[in-house]
Amino acid sequence: MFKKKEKRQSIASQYAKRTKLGEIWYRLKKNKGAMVGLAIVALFVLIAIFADVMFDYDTQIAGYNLRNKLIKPSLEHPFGTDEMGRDLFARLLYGTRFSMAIAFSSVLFSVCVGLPMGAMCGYLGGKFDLIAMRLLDILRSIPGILMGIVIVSWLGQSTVNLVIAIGFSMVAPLASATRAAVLTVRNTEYVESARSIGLSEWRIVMVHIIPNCLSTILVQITLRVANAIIAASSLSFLGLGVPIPSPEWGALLSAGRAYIRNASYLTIFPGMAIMVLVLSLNVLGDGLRDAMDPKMHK
Amino acid sequence: MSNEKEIVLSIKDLVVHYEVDGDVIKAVNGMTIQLEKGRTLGLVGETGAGKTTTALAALNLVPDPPGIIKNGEIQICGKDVLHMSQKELEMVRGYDIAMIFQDPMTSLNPVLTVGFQIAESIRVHEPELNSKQAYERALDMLELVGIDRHRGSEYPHQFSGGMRQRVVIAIALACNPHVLVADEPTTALDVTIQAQVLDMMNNLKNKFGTSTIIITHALGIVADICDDVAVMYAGRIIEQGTLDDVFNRTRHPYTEGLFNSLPNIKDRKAELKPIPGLMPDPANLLEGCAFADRCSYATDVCRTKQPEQRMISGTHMVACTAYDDPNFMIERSRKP
Repeated sequence: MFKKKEKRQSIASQYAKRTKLGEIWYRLKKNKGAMVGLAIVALFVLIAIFADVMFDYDTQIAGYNLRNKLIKPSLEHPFGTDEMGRDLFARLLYGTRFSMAIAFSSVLFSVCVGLPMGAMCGYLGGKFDLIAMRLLDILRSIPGILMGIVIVSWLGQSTVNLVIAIGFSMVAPLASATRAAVLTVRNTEYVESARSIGLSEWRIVMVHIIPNCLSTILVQITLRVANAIIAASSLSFLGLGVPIPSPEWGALLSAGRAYIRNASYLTIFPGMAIMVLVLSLNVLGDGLRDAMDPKMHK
Repeated sequence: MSNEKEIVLSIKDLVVHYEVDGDVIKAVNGMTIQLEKGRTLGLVGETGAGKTTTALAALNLVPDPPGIIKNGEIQICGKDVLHMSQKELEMVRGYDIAMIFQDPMTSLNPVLTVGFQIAESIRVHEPELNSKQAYERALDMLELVGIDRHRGSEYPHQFSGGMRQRVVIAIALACNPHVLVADEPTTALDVTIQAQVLDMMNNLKNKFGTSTIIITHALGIVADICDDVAVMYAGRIIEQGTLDDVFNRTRHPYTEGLFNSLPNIKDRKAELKPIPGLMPDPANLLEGCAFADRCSYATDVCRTKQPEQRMISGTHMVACTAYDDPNFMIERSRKP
């Protein structure tokens, strides 16, 4: 009799001790795919952070050594060298900085603009919603790459402008997704119930509505980061992204085009890097969304 | 015994319309009730009678487009609810008056633990408590409604329907409000759980002395826990009185019809006697008594004149033109 009660209480106290974040982490750990994705993304992030320490920018990244040009992948140069004699492995790893920084900053930009906008549209409705949605429609009717090209051409070619350009093109879908999520949650009975116990509108939005939209927003963010990496690479590929000689992956792809016949590794490795990072982000995003949904069966 | 009745909730001449796409839906048409301290009032009526709208109006929660409170005065413990600022309303809701909604499956926020949701009400209305104290109080409430306090860190989907409704009740009663409005609190639950939840509500009512309005269409529940009854039809109260008045000295033909529609457990072979017809479309209410078309006692006068409210005894009110004739009595209450 006593043993049963103790056992029940210890299970219960296990539940009690686990905080919300702990709960999410616990569930995420069970998803093997997501953990691999997380590991890869974490690896890339670490590389991005420590690239400066690992490689000396002036000699390895931006410098040139024509005697070493176009060496196939070997022990000394795992990914080969490019047409200027620079080690591709070093350039690729250093390029992680650019891709990560640009992708995360542009998504941050679009979240800072799009999320409040979408939430206000969804929650307030009325004239604000009408006008804001029409503005977003205008924004959305312009193809992303085109908008990116226009903005970079107008503002000038620099990393900051690239971030603005990509961020801008992502505001509309993010705002729409947030708005849709808020609209669904706004009409639920628990929101009405929250109002009936006297919670302020602000508190209702922050504590009740937005957390229920988080899984939608999080999936959006992950997709957008992946998109942003591709967008940044595309713009750099076109020559409108980061200025040369920055080793951004798209720029590496573009530069490798000329040698695709006899030095195909110059395009293969950057392409694979993009693919691996984007895939990992998507798998991680899916896993996070599943982990955050309290209703998923264990 | 003093004659002083302390009225905790007073609704006078409430008129609520919904304006949708050009149509005006007259949901509540002149409703007056007074809830005394410590009493339980059963608000009975069919779907569409205006019961939920009345309840929402009491908390000034009628959705503003499309609902408009055209007229009326609502006072909770003397405070005028319809003319308060948003801030004042937020203080009254949950603290002086609380509401329980119908469906426990959707009344709780799925991403917050039940302990958090109960504690929230406490934190908002009693800011002098720190969050740990509020959480402890929340767990106390959880125990009070019959749930183990260790389950406070669990999520709503980990509870069954009956337990969720208990949590909802715990949230509503967390700050010990003067008035509790329960909108069909047990309709979504199965019968055995219904009985448990009603029992629990009764105990809590006795413990805290909360005055309650129970909105229901089940006369059995009314008989079980209500002290007073008000019967609503097409947005008006057509009969009102103590439980004894309405059940044993029924006067209104509609109320009679409600009792007749109940299957008779003693006579299994008897035919069911529903009330013919449907409640009138609230967008197209006619001049006279809204029940006239379905009433077996109706006369021409009924169709043209709005029945006035007549006090039959100190506590019993009926709105029926037939009682202009002092000898009239409906079948159910005719002396054999």
